[in-house]
This record gives sequence, C-alpha cells and structure tokens, in this order.
Amino acid sequence: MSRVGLWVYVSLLCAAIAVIGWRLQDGLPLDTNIVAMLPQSDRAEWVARAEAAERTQGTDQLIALVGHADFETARAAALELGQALVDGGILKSAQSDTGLSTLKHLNEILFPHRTELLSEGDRRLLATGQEQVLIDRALVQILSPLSLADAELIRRDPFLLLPNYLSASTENRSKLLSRANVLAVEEKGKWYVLVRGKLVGNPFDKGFQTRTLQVFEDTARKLGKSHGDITILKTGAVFYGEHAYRQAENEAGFIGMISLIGIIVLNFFVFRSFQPLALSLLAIASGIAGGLAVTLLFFGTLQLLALVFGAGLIGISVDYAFHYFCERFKKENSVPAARARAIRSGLTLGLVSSVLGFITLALTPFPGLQQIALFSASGLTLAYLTVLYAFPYLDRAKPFTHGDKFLAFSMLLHHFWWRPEHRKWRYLLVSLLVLAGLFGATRIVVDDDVRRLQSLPQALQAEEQAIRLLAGIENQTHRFFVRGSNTEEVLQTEEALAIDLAALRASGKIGNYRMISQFVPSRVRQLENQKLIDETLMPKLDEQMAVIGLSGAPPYHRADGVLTLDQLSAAALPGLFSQLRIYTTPGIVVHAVTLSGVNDRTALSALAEKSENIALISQADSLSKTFGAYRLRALIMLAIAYCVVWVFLSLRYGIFGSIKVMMPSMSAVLLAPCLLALTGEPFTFFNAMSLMLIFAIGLDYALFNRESSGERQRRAMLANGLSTISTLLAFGLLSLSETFAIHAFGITILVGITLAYVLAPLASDLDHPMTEPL
Amino acid sequence: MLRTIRLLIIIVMAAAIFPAQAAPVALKEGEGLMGRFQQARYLRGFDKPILSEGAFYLLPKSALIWQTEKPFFSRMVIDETGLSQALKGAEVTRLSFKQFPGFKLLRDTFENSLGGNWAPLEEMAGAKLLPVDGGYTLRFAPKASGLNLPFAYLNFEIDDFLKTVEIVKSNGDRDVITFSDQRVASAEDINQAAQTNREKQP
Repeated sequence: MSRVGLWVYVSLLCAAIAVIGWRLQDGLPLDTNIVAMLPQSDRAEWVARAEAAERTQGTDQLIALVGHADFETARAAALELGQALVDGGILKSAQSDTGLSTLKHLNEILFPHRTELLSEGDRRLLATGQEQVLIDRALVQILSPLSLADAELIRRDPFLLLPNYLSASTENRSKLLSRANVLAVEEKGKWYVLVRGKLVGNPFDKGFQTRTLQVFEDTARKLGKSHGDITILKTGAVFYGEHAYRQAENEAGFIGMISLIGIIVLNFFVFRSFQPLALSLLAIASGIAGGLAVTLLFFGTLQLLALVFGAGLIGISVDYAFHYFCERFKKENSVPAARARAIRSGLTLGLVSSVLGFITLALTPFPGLQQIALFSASGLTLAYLTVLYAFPYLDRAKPFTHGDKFLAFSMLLHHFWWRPEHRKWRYLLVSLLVLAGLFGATRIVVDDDVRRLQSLPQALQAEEQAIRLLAGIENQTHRFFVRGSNTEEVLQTEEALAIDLAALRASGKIGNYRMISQFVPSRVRQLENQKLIDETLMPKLDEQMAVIGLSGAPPYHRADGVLTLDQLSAAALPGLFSQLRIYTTPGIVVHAVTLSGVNDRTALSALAEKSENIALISQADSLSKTFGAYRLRALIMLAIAYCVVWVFLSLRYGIFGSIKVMMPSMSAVLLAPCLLALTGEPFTFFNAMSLMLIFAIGLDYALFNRESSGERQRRAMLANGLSTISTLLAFGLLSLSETFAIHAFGITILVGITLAYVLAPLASDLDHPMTEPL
Repeated sequence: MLRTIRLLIIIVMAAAIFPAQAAPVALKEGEGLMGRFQQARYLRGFDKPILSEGAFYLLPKSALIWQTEKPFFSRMVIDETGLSQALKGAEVTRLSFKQFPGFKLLRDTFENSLGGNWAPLEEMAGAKLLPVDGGYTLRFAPKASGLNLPFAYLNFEIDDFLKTVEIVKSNGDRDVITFSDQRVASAEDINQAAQTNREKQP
C-alpha cells in the first residue's frame, strides 16, 4: 500500500511540475483584477453582460496629462509620449489630437439629415408655435461679428439647424480646449496637454503592466531631460493593477519569508536536526506545486489573492510534517513506516475534513475564492501524500533522544482542561470568553462596502483626482442600462426615459444626463422633427433667404431615409456618445445613459422599476450588495460544511461524539468575529470566508487530540502547538497586509486559530480513547 | 531778417501741409467707451451685404456689449470666458472661449483696438500703425501658435478712435464694421448706459 502510495505521489508531483512548466512558459499568468474575483452579478443576464462589457470598456484606457509652462513644449512632449506608447506596443493609437477629421466626417454624415435633427429645446419651440425664435436666433448668429457660420454653411442651412443641433447635443463640460490639434487646459500658468488611448493588452496582465510602466517611466525620464520641468499625470486601471501586483508580490514575499524563517527556527529549535527541515520543505514544495498546477490547469490564470494564500498554504502543509516528526519523540519506535501509521488516522480525518470545507468554499460563485479552495485542497492533498508515503522512504533517522521538556510543556494546555486542580481557572476562562463573546456579538458591525476591497494607492488616486479637476471630468456614480431588441427600440425607450429625466433635472434631483438618442434620435423622432420643420420653418424659408440676401433654389433637400446609428461608426460618434454603446448582438442591443449630480437615488429607482428594459446601475452599490449577499451565503456554506463533516465524523465517533470533536472548532468560529468586533474590526465577506479556514484547521487540532491518547497525546499536543505557531506565522501575518481583504483574512485567522488551539484539548475523551486506527 | 522771415514762412507752410498726427486716444484705467456701429457682412455668393447697426459698450477687462438694434434688437455680451447672445431677454447662443480659443483672440483684439491699446496688437502683427491721411492703418495678421482663428486678417482704420475694422475670412467672406459717436466715460457710467439702453429693447 505504501509503495502504491509513493508511486501515486511521485506521479502526481511529476504531473504537477509538467503542468506548471507548460503554463508558465510565458511567465506567471497573474490576474491582479480583484473585482474579477467577484461572481457575475445576480441581476438579469443582460444587465450582468452589460456590466461586464462596460467594465472592460472602462479599464482598457490610459489617460495622461503632460504639463509645462510653455504650451508648445507641453504639446511636443505630449505628442512624444503618445508616440512612445504606440511604438512601445502599449497603446493602439494615441489620441492627443482633437479629432478634427472626425468632426468633419461627422458633419458630412449629419448634414443631409439636418431637417430631421432637433434638440429637445428646439422641438419644444417649434411644437408650441415659437418658430420665430429659431429664425431670429439664426439671424443673430449670422449677424454676429464673432460668427461661426460662413457663406457656405448659411447658403445650405439658412436656419443654422445643424450647428445649433450639434451645439446642444454635444454640450461638453470638459475644461479641455482644442488648440493646435491637441486638447489642452491652462491652469495656474501651466499648460496641460491630453494623451489618451486604448491599451493593446490586458490591463490586469502582469507582463503588460510591467511593460506599460517601463515604457511610461522611460519616456517620462527622456522628456524630463529634453524638455526640462515637465509634469506628467497619469491614470488608468493598468497603473492601479500594477501597483496592486507589486504590493501583493512584496507582501507575499515578506509573509512567505517570515513564515519560512519561522518554520526553520521552529524546526531547529524543536527537532535539532536538518532532516525534518528538509523534508518539511519537500512537503511545502509539493503542496505549492500541487495547488499551483491544479489552479493553472483549471483556471488558466492565477488570481492575486490565490497567490497570497499560496504563501499561507505553507503554514498548513507543514502541519502534517510536524505530526510526522513529533512521532520521532517516541523513543521505542524506530521504524519510519510506524510513525506514518501512527498519524494516519488523524491526518486522514483532518485532510478529509479540510477538503470537505474547501469544497464547500468552492461552491461559492466567486472565481477567486474557488481558486483559493482548489489551490488549498489540491495542495494539502499532495502534502498529505508526501508525509504519509514519501517521508517513510526518505526518513532513515533514529528516534530523537531529546524533547521531554517540549512534550511536557505542550501538555500544560491539555492539563489545564482536564486536571481537576485547574477547574476554577477553566471556569473563569470559559466565563470570560462567553461574556466577551456575548458583548462582542452586540458590537458586530457588518460592512459590505466594496470600496474597502482594494486599498487604492494614495499617489495614484491623487493623480487621478488632479486629472479629473484639470480636465473637468465628472465622477459619474449612477447610470441606466437600456435594452431593446434593436437599436430603434432602444432609442425610443431612451426618448421616453428622457421625458422623466428632464423633469428630475428641472427639480434638481439630478444634475444632467446623456444618452445616444440626444445625438441620433429614433427613426420615429426624426420623422416627427422633419414634419415639424416642414410645417413651421419651411413656409418662412423664402422670407429668411430674402432677409439675408440669398437667392437661388431652396437649400433644404430631403435625405434618402433617416439617419441611423449604424451610419456612424464608433470612430465617428463623439467620444461622449460612443462609450454609451454597450453591446449589440442579434436580438439584444444595450445602451447606457449616464447621470451626473445625482441627489435622489429613489427617484431613479422608481424610473427603473417602470420597465424591465431599464436597469439602474450604481457600480459601488451593486458590488456592495453582491458582497452582502455572498457574505450571508458564505455563512450558510459554513453551516452546511459543519453538517457534512458531522455526518462524516459520526461514522467514527457517533452523533454526540462527533459534536464534541467539532465543538472547539465551532467555538473558535463563533467567538472570533465577536472578539474582533471588540477591537472595532468590521465583519465583512472576507472575515466570513476566513471562518471557513478556522473551521478546517481547528478541526485538525481537535481530531489529533481525539485520535491520540496516553503517551501519544503529548506528541499530538506538541505537533498541534508547532502547527499553531506556523499557521499564525503564515496566516496571522496577513493581518499586516495593506489590502483590506487580505488583512481581514489574516486578523480573523489570528484570533480564530489561537482560540481553536486553546480549545482543541476539549475534543479529547480520556474515558473512551480511540484505539482502533482508521 | 528776410532770411528769417522766409524760414518762418517755410515752417508755417510745412506745418500746414504736414500737420503733426495726433496719437489715437487710449483709455485710462477705470475708463470705458461707448458709441455706435454699422456692420456690413459680405458673404461670398450672396446678393447683397447683410447690414446691421446698433450701440456698443466697452468695459475694459470686463465685457464688450454689442447691442444690435437693426434689423432687430439683440444683445451680445462678450466677456473673458465667452460670448452669450440674447434675443428678447432670452439667451439663444452661448460660446465658450475654452472650446473656441481663436475667438478669444478676436475678442481681445476688439477690446484693445476700441480702447486704443495698440501696442500689443502692433507686437502681434509685427508692424507699427501706419500714418495715413491724418489717421492710421494697421493690417493685423497674427501668427498665433496653434489657434484656429476665425479670420485670415483684419484691417484697421483709426483716427482718434477706431474708425473701421474689416474682418477678412479665409474663404473670402468679410465683415466691415464702422464705428461712430465714440465717447469716453467712466466704466461705471458706461455700464449704467448699457443697462439703460438694454431696457429700451422692445
């Protein structure tokens, strides 16, 4: 059996190494997008899809402002930066110009349809018989010494319908102005020129992030040398992602290093031999190889959090090695295979319980947490095989001759719970824990605010804010998605929605809104516009032509058909509108309607409830809501995991016996969030998820207590103690992380595992020890 | 003695023939200018120029108010940030200089030329005022960096004040604006007059 086990282990390890080698050919496919960990929204499928499409649209942009006191210098530097980013394979094209050719192209497309395009205000005027206002407006504009209209335009459009439509529909609040074919803004004596573009690669791909930052910084350095005092402000998901990766890498490196050092020190201190350390490292390496290989095989990429928890896995996989080597303290047992046999029951029960726990975790629809679960379950399985089947072949050492003091010391905790002389202190401790737990329970503050998810770097946030202020870009927190079976249907729905939004704007409940139908009205609306113009303005055309001295044939010729959105490629649509086309597939078209200055969310919700084709989206609210729902689901999963394990353990310990074994783990799970609440820590989805680990690890401790008796109890307690220290080193250190999610995991495990270890001896049954191995 | 008399006669005659040209009036700090204008807009291919006339009020560093009275009443206020055109008290057009910085240059040129502040215009034009028939002229074709200017060049005719400006567009369109009845007063009085005149609109 042990030979078969060894071959299984060797085969799995080789397969894992092969998979890792194959998948890492192009570097570690690390995904730093923490939002990608989230499950798909539980809203309607079309809304979820639109959210995903919009998320991609928003993250593949890079924006920079290049500043210098002299406009020409700022412009030259901005153009150089844009070109360097394109040449460096970072941007598809750098849009530093104002798109004058695009505007010209746009005019050419729209001009034949000028009698079908009316702004909301002009429609109202014509519909209420105030066409003279439009006629006089055209005259005022024609007469102005600062007129935009030239002879050609006036001859073809004497009512100046198109310029007024464009001016009303593309009203731009941006502070950027068009100058010398770039968009620029002057602020406190400094000119800032815009560089923006679409990224060539995935902003969450580590390799692409590194390359982007390198090209950006190299170019910035060169620009500094060649142009002097240049200021460059930058923003984009690629920079945030790069920072998150670097932070995770540093933290993983730091935590992994401390964990390893701790384990090395523990090994030498307790075992006084190099061999346990070497074999422990083999168990750790096997565990990580197994976890990494299976995760890469199933997911293709590795999530940021899964990587950080990979470092944490060290703490658990080494537990098994500790149990094995603690068996060497049994002086009369000199056969390595017997050491493995002695711990097999506890180890197997512990592994099965942990894997069951992780499988339950994997049932949550969070891709990142599924990775963590798969990483941990497969890693632990390989570590288990290493200890049980590889160690006996590699371990040729005789029993330790030292260790009595450690064994005696580790039993102090056990004695505390079982010796009659400690009864008073036991009651005191239990009472204190119960009181603190009850008081803490009243202080628990649930927090699902998604903004806690990532601790965004202050420097990058400051740059983004500076760009927003300089460019006058509003932070739009809410928007609608509007759905239809074709574009015409969506445009009509938008126009109906616009009536309500205009009322909300008038009452100050929202600041403004923007929708595609403001630029390309529906076919129905265009025909209505045409009719209005025919009936009200056209009868006065001759008079208008006479006033301005224009003779010849009437200038307004009807276009063939109305203007359609498809006539305007994404490139021809003004940027403000092109971003509103979310996706178009046969049968489903979705547009976004952006809202600014939202003061009354309830009114907007009421509008969304009017139609199933309209959905109100608030990115932060929506994600926070999802987090809340899944926090609850995680707790339910935990309860289910306990039920599953209860059934499993009942097979060995009976119904009540298994409850007794589970009690220390359950107490730790219940008490940890309560005690943390006393320190002001909020209870989030991530705290809930970490309870799952406390459940699994806590069960291990209890199981080893239950499975050991007599002299072996001492060795199990020592191994549990060593495991606790290494777990706290591995996971507890996560509480130092600047990433809130990781911190939440770390701090909960720190408290929970300590409790699980302290309470584990309660699982022992001195009257009915387990004598039959599994 | 005779030689001296001859010299005096020559001097008097020279002074009569070549009178010393007075420099254009320049507004002092706190002063404004108001007057009348007539504008003829010549659009290429149109039968006749489009004519308009009205009053203007210059409040340096603040606003230029352009009140058209014929063919109908309208009012344009050009300030530091942009222009706003109103018809019967209701705004019909708003144009921001942020979006059209070339118009800002035209606005500044109007303010400087109407206010007699020719030095910056001479500097931008790279030419000095040219004395002609008791007045001056200036052809203004600035080389403004990167700006899309709404004109190709301007021709100024100046006596005490700006008399005429011709705005020539690159497509051949041109506006000829003639100013008259200019009066210097305190900025406060000019503003008061502008407000009073505003109320006269039908």
